[in-house]
Amino acid sequence: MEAGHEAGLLLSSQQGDRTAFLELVTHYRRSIYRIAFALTRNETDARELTRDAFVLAWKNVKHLPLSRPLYPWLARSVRNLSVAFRRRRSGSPEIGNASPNPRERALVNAFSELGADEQLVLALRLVEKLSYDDIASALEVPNRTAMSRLATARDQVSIKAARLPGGA
Amino acid sequence: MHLTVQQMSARLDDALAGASQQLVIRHLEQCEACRAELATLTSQDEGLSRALLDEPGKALLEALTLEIEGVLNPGKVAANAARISELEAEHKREKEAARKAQVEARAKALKAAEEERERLAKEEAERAARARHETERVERDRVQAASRAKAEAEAREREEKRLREAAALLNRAENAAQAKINEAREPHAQRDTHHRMLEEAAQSAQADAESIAKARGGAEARQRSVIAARVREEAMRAEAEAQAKLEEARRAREAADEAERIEHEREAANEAKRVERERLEREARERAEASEARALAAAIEAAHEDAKRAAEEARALAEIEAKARKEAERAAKEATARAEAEERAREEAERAADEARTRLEAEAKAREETAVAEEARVRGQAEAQSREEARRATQEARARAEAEAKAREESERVAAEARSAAEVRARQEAERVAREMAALAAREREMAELRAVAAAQAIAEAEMRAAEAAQLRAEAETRAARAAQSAVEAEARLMALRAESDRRNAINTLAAAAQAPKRNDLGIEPVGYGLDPLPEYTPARYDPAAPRRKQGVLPPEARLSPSTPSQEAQVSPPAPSRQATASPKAPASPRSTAPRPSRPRPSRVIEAPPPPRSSHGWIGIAAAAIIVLAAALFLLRIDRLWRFGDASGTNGARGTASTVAAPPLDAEHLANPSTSPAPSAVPQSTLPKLTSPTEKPASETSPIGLATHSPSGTPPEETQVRPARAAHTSRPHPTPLAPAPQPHVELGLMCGTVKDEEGRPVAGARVIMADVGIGVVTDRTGRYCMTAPLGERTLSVMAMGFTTWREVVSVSKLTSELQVTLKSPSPAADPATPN
Repeated sequence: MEAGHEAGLLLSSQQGDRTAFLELVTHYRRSIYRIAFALTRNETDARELTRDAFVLAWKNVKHLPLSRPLYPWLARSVRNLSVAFRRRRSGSPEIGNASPNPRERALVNAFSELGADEQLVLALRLVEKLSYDDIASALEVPNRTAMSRLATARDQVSIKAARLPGGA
Repeated sequence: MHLTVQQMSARLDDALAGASQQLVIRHLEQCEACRAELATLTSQDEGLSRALLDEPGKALLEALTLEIEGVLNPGKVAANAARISELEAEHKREKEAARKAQVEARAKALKAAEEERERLAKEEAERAARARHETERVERDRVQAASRAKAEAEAREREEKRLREAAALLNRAENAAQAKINEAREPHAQRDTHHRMLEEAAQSAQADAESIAKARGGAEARQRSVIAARVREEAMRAEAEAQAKLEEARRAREAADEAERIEHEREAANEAKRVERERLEREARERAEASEARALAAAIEAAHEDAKRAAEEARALAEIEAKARKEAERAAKEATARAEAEERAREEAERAADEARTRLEAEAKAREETAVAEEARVRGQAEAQSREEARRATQEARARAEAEAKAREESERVAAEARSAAEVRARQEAERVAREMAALAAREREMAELRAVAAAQAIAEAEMRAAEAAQLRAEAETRAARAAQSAVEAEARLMALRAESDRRNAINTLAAAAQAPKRNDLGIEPVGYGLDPLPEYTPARYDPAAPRRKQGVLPPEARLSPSTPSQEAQVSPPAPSRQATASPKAPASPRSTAPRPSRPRPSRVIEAPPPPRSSHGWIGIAAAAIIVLAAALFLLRIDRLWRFGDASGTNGARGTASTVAAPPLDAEHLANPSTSPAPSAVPQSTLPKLTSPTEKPASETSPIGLATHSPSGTPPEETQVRPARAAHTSRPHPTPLAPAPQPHVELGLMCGTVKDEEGRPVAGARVIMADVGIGVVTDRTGRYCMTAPLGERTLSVMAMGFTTWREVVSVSKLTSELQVTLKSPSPAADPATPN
C-alpha cells in the first residue's frame, strides 16, 4: 500500500471513518494472521489474536502516527498479545504442533520455548519472508540488531531442538 | 576456526556482501564442519517454515473482517453472524479440500520420489560396478607391471652375472699372459747376465794372458797361450753357448713378444667387444628402462587416477549409502512409529472387535437357543470381516505411511515448485494490486474533482456571504453616512442658529450700547431700531450634560445660563424637563459670562456674551471685543463645519470615525453574524464626542471635541479592531506532532520526503508550517506527515548543514505529496569561508 494512501486512510480512521479502517484491516489481515499463527500454532488462537490486534488498533487509532506505516505497530501488538495470551493459557496443553514429522515436532517445541522477540523475528523471516531491512523496520530496531537477533534465535532453536527427541 | 552463528545465519539469508561474503564462501569451501552446520540450519529453517506457516483461506479472512467490523460497529453483529457462519463452513470445506490435495500431492511426490530413488539406486549400482571393474583392471595391470618389472630385474641380474664371469675369465687370461710374459722375460735377463759375465771373463782372461805372457815368457807364454787359446776356445764356446742361449732367449722373447702382442690384440679385441657389448647393453638397458619407466609411470598414473576416481566414487557411494542409510533409518523409524500406531490401531480394532464380539455374544445369549448356530456363524463372519477390515486398514495405513514417507522425500521439490508458483502468484497479485491502485487513484481523482466542485461551491457560498456582508457593511456605512450627514446638517443648523444668535446678540449689544449713552445722558429709555431683542443663546440648551447638571453636578455658570422652552424644544428634544433658569432679558451674571479665550475649553459650552458696560469707553471696548469674539466663534464654527464636512467625505486622514467604522470582515464574523459589532455603534463613533470635565476620554480630544490619534500613533479604533483580526489569524500553540483535529476545522493531510541533493533521505529535518504553527520532524527515511487547515500555507524545511527550504504550498483534503530537496549552503554564502 502506498504510504500516502495509507496515511490518508489512517487520518480518515482517526476522524471516525470505519470504512477506511476496514480497508486497512483488509490490507493487513493476511500478514497479521500468519504472524499470529506462527506465534500460537493454532488457528482459533491466531484468529482471536488477529481480531484483538485490530480492535486494539481501532481503540488507539487517534494516537497512531500518520507518518509511519501501520504494519510494525500491528506486528508488535500481536507479539504483546501473544505474550499475554500465553500467560493466560499457561498450564493448559498445547493445542497445535500436530506435525507428523518428529523432527518438525522437535523444532516447533524448541521454537515455542523461545522468547517473544525471537519468535517474532523468526516468524517475520521464515513465514513472512521479510528481508533484514524490512525486519528492522517492522521491529523499529537497527539492521544489525535484527541480524543478530535472528542468528541468536536460530542458534537457540538448534540447541533446544537437539535436546528434544527427534530433533537431533 | 569456524564461522560464527551470525555469519552462517547471514549466509543462509544471503545477506552478506563484499569481503565478508568472499571470506565465508572460501571458508565453506574448505571447512566440512561448517558446511554441515549450514546444511543443518537450512534444514531447520525449512522445517520451521513448514511447521509455522498456515496460509489463511479467503473465507477465514472474510469472517475475520466481519468479526472486526462487528466489534467496531456493534449494530452489525447480528447481521454479520449468519454470514460468518457461512464463511466458517466454507473455510472448513476449503481446509478439507486442501488437506486432500495435500495428501494426493504427497502421494504423488512419494511415488515420484520412489521412482527417482530407484533410478538413483540403479545408477549408483551401475557406477559401483563400473568402479569395481575399473579397480580390478587397474589391479590386474598393476600385477602385470610388477611381474614384468620382476622379470626384467632377473634378466638384468643374469646379465650382470654373466658379465662378472666374463670379467673373471678375462682377468685369469690376463694373469696367464702376464705370467708367460714374465717367463719369457727371465731367459733374456739370464742371457744378458751370462753375456756380461762372459765379457768380464774374457776381459779378465785377456788381462791374465797378457800378464802371464809378460811375466813368464816363451813356454810359459806358449802354455799360457795354449791355455789362453783353450780358455779362448772355452770362452768362445761359452760365447757360442751364450750366443745360443741368447738366440734362444731372443727367440723366447720374440715368442713372448708375439704372445704378448697376440694377447694384446686379443685383449684389445675383447675390450672392443666388451665396450661394444656394454654400449649395446647400456643402450638396450636404457631403452628398456625408459620404456619401462614410461609404461610404469603411465601405469602408476593411471592406477593413481583410477584409484582416486574409485576412491571418490567410493566416497560418493559411501555418502549416498550413508544418506540412504539415514533415510532408510528415518523411514524405518517413521515406519516403526507408524507400525506402532498401526499396532495400536489394530489393537483398537481388535478391542473393538472383542467388544463387538462380546456384544454379539451377549446378544446371542439373549436370543433363543435355536438361533445359536446362525448367530455363531454370523459372529464368525463378522469377526472374519472385522479381521479382514483391520488387516486391510493396517495395510492401508502401512501403505499410507509409506506414501507419506515417500512424499516427504519429494516435498522439497514440491515446495520449490510451490515457491515458484507462489512467486508467479505474487507477481500476478502485484499486478492486480497495481491495477487496483490505479483504480483507487482514478477513484481518488474523481473524489478530488468532487471535492474541488464542493470547494468551488463553498467558495461561491463564501463569496455570496462576503457579498452579503459587504452589502450589510455598505448599508451600515450608508446609515452611518446618513447619520453623519444629519449630524452635520444638525450641526450646520445649530451653527446657523448660533451665528444668528450671535449676530442678534451683537446687534442687541450694539443697540444697547447705542442706547446706553442716551439713557444715561437723557434719562430716556432707549428705543430700538424696530428690531426686537433676540433671545440670548444659552449654552445649557445644547449641552448634552444637562441631565447630569440637573442632578447637581453642573458647573455654576450653567445653572445661571438662561434658556427658553421654545429654543430648547428646537435643539434639544430629549430634554423637556430642562427649564430655563433665567429670563431672556435678564442679563447674565458677569461671573458666569466672563470670556476665557486663552484657555482651551474642556467642553463645548458656549459662554454667554458679556453684559453691557455702563460707560461708553468700556461699552465700546466690550462691543469690539464681542464682535471680535463673535467673529472668532463664527470662524471657529466654520472651521468645525469644514472639518465635519471633510470627515464625512472620503478623506479619512483627519476624520478617523468614518475610516474605522466598519469592522473587519473575517470568516468568524461571516460564520457568526451575531458576533459582529452593532451597526448602531458606528454612528456614535462618527459623531464628535462631547465630553465633560469629569469624563475621562478614551483618547485625546481636540478642543472642539474631535477624536485624535493616540500618542502611540495607532488609531484607537484599530486597537479595538485588532482583537477581531487577531482572533482570525491567531496562531495555535506549536506542537511537536500534528494537533488533534478539531471538528469545526477542515483539515488536510500533507506527506512527503525530505532528501538531500544526492537523493539520500534527511532524518531529523524540521518541517514547519509557520503560519499555523505546526511542525513535525522527519523520520530516518526522511518521511513526514502533517495535518493542517486547508488552504495556501507557507512550508519551511530546516536541517543542520542545509539551506532552509521555504515555499507556499496548498493543503487540500486529499493527501498531498511534497518531495523536498535540501541544498547544501554554497561556500560563497558562508561568511566563515575565506574567499
